[in-house]
Order: sequence, then C-alpha cells, then structure tokens
Amino acid sequence: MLSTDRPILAHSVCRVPTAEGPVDLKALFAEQGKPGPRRVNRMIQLAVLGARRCIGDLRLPENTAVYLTSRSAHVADSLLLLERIRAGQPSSPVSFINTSGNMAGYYVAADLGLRGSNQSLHAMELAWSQLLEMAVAAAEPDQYLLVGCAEECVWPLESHRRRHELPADCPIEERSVFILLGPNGSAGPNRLRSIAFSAMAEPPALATDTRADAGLVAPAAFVEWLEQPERSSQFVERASGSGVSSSSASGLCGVITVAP
Amino acid sequence: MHVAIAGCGLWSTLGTDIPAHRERLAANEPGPPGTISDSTGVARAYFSAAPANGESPDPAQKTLDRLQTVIDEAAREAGLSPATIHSMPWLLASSSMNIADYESRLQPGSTETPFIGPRFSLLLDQLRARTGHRGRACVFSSACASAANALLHGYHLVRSGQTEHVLIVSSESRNRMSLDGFGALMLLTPSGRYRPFDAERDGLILGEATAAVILRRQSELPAPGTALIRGGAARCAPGNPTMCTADDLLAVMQAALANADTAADTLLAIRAHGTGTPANDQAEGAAIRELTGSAIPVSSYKPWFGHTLGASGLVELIALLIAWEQGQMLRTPGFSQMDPAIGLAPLTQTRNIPRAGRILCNSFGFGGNNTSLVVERTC
Repeated sequence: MLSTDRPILAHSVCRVPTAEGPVDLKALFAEQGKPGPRRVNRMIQLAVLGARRCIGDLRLPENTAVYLTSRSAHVADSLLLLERIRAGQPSSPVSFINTSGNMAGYYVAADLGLRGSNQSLHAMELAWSQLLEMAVAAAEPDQYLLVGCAEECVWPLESHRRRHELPADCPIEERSVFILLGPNGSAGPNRLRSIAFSAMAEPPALATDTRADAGLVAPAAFVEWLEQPERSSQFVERASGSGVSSSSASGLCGVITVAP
Repeated sequence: MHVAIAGCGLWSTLGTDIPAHRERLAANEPGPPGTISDSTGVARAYFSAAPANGESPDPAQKTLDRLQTVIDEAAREAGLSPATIHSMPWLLASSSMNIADYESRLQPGSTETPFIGPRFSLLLDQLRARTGHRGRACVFSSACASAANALLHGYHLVRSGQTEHVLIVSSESRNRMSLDGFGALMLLTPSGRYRPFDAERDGLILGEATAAVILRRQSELPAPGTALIRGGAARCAPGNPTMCTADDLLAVMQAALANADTAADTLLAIRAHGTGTPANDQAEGAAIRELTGSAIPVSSYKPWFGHTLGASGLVELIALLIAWEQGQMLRTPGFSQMDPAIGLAPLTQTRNIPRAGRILCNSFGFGGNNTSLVVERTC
C-alpha cells in the first residue's frame, strides 16, 4: 500500500456528447476565453480543455507534474498515418508528432507553463489506480500533481464502436477528467490517503474486456464518487475497469482511500 | 534499501541474447546498418534485429516471441520462478506498440478504415494473455524516453516498498510509421552514416530491439559488482514538442543527480542520449559541458544499435552494464570531428573505467519528455 496525505484541491469531468457528430471544440475553448493549442488532434484538445476546467483560476507552481491516461489514445491520427502508408504517401509530420503517447500531457503542461514530470500510462486494467500510484510515488512532498484522462472519438461512430468491440447501440462520449492533488500534508478537503492493489480469487480473463464503453470509466466514476455527500472512504477500481464497489469483486482491484 | 538490477535480457541488431551482445561489444565493432524502404520507396539505413531460426513472419507473433524471449532471459539471470515473474508488476515501454501488426493488415487500394485494436495497451494485453501474467501492468509510451520513464517508475515502486520485484520490458519493432515520420521530419541521415556529436552529423538511423530488466528490492549491503538504480528524475520542457534547450536538459540531469545524492564531478561517465541530430546533440552537448566541463567521459551508444526509440533507454542501459562489467565504457562509433558549436568530444576509443562508481544515463523524447537516471556498480 502506498500511503500519502494529499488534498484533492480540484476536480472536474468534461463530457462532450457525440450523438450529433463531433462537437466543435474551438467553441468550448472560446467559452474559456482562451484559444486552444494549434496543430493538435482532438485528444490533445480534450485534455487541455479538461485540465483548464479542473484548475479554473488557480495558478500552479512551475514544478507541477502532469500524469495522463487514455484507453484508446490518439486513434484519429494513427488512422490517418496508416492510410498514408497504404497509399504510399509521405507521412504528415504534425500527425506523426501528435501520435507520441505523451503529447496530450505535453500540451497540458505547455498550456499551463508546467515543468514537472509529464508522464502517460496506459492499461486495460486499473489504469486510474496505477496512474495515481505513479504520480504519488514519484512526487516531491511540496509538488502539485495534475492527474487526468482524455478520450477522443473518431467518426463515423459505427466504426469507432466496432473498433472497441461495443454493441451498435452503445452510447459513447468524449471526455476529459482531471483532479488536482496538493502538496503532501497541506490543507484541503478530500484527502488522498492511500492507493493499494489487492488480488482477489478468480481473476477475470485478461484477453477480453466486456465493459460497454470506449473509454476509461474509472476516472469519471472516481470524481462522481468524490462529489457524493455521504460516501465511503474507499473507491474500488475493479480489474474489469468500471465503477464503485465496496464488495469483494473477483480479480485484482485498485483500492483508493480518500478521507472526507 | 537498494534497487538492484537482478536480471537482463536483450535482443537487438547485435544478437538475440546477452552472451551474443557480450561477444559483439567485446569485439568493439558495430555492424553496418542495412537498408529498408519507406512508404514512398526512399531507401533508409536501418538496424534490423538479428534474426533467429524459425521466427514467425507474422509481425505480431514475432514481437510477442521476442518479448517472451527477453523476459525469460532476465528471469533466468534473476533466478526467479515463473510464479514470481507472473505476479510482479510489469511495465512495458514502447513507442511503436502494435503498429507493425496494423501495417501488415493494410490492403493496398482498399478504402476500408485501417484496423486498429480496441486499446492502446493491446500489446501488453496480448503479452499477459500469452504468458499468464496476473499482476498489475501498464504501458509507458513517452516517445524516446519511454523505457527510461518505465525504469524510473519501477525504481519508485521498489524503493517505496510497493513490490519486491518489477519487470521493465521494452519493444521497438520495425514499422513504416516511425520510418516515414522521422523521414518527414528530416531527422534521418541522408548519408547513412551515424555519428552523434560529430561536426558533420546529419541525422539518426532507426533500429529495432527488445529488452527486459528485472529490478529487485535489496535491504542488505549489495555484493561487489551489483548494479543498482541509484535515482533519477523526469522533467517536461514545455517550449517545443520536438526540441529542448540546453537549460532544459541541464535541469533534468541536475535533478537526477540531486535525487541520487551524487555530485557531478564524481561520475565515472555519462551515457548520452546522443541521437546524432543537429539540434539534440547541440543542446545535450552544451548541457553536459555546463554540468561537468569536459572532464568526464561521454558516449552515445546509438551507433551500436540504431535509435531504438521507446526501447533505447533499456537497450543502452544493458549495453552499458555489459561493458562496465569488464571495466569499460563503450566508444561512440562514427565520431571523428568535434563540432565547435558543441565543444564536446565523445569517446572515440573504448575507455577503461573503474568497475565501481556511478554513471548518468540520459533519455530525451518528443513531448518535452526528458529523463536522466543514475546507475551504480558497487565496490
């Protein structure tokens, strides 16, 4: 178990509906009163939107670190580059750069002027718990940590659902979720106390994931759990990836303890 | 409490296991790169991995076979049972992930949407399903710093007592997306000569490799000759997604040394990132000069393996340890002429160094992702 004592100073879930086609993210940046980064993909835009929404008017110290996860990452740029390869065309330098797994975190850091570590982590199981563990394990005591998740969709959504092995009628959304952890021992509500992993009997099959969502569910569920007026002190991320449960689900679980 | 490097496995252009690398590095002569074509038909120098008998022609199968081979080799050296291996945390570092597999499924002339798997972590999921791994696992994909970042996280996991052991495994498979992308960025050498820090350097040569390291928590005093991760640091340089300044790189090297409680002038050597591109080498060279003057041996190992991108931090660490075991720091093949703008000459001959001490290892990637590690051999 990794113990800590960091307040969760801010949190936000930015959900972007998909049913009517891709939402113009420039309009969302305009609502924030500041344009988004140029020459980037939707996943990067979503990450920057969500990070800004999380921290609001706070000015973060330069040594703040950024930790980001994503289930499917930069699919649109990867598809574009594969299509160019198939057609025997030269690569797109911008799209190639933007397929680096850490580029969304880079643009969050650049947007906010941050020079702490910029790390991205991806996992089928327990991505959120592992990301929090990584952030806390590496952090200096006085460091702020911006931890989040961004998921883009690629249209047509039928193809996107097929890619993610989802039912044709499964509702999906784009989202960007962030929390801001304060320095260890500093004042604030919702104190992150520990992250632990416990093995349960009958672990789920590793090769399949039947969760009906194209993105990671746990980060948004975690923030919604934080907002519950009367919640337990433990958020359990199951290996199957979703939800809050106080019961002993089978398989490996991430247990995140947050004191009110 | 110490974080020891308990076992290594390596498959690169120089060979398919550690003994083959020992032999090739001792011979002190890297092989010449081969040539492959990018998607537009332009020939590019490239360091392909050494072939093995009976390898599958299927890219996905080949990548998984190589991953399993290096994991098995590292586990044998660490003396760990399969049960321990399959329950410890696994950290996979790669910038190419499943791309070679996706490219192999492309049908020329088709208008179908290309196949991409359901998760970015698919390669890791496939590896775990194949091996029966039941611990927690995650992917690091932070461009050329991926493996160094995974090593640093593994170090933190072991040092903070979260695990007794952790496996860091990295894979970079030959693929056109990387070749085309670096070509489009004009970062590949047109001359086909790999010469980091040289005044005439004109770009990098890509390579493929697979590597594994097992870190072990060790509370007692390590035996002489034990390799340790002593500390490290990662920093983001938010000024440009593909380029860093000397100040950015100096900052991360200083942070790593501070974290490892190591004075710069006590280092035995610096294993540079040394990509051979004009901008990286200029910034890194200036940062190293500022950090240490020119008193400490510096070398780039990329001409031995090619730039293995997301795997390079692990591949070059293992090469460092193999040579260091013999009391040597490998030279930088290809270097002949100092660049006055850098003012730094890497080793042109393999140098004898003490078998005990500390060496700084640099890995810098796109996305302003800079990581330095301090590695130690005990006396």
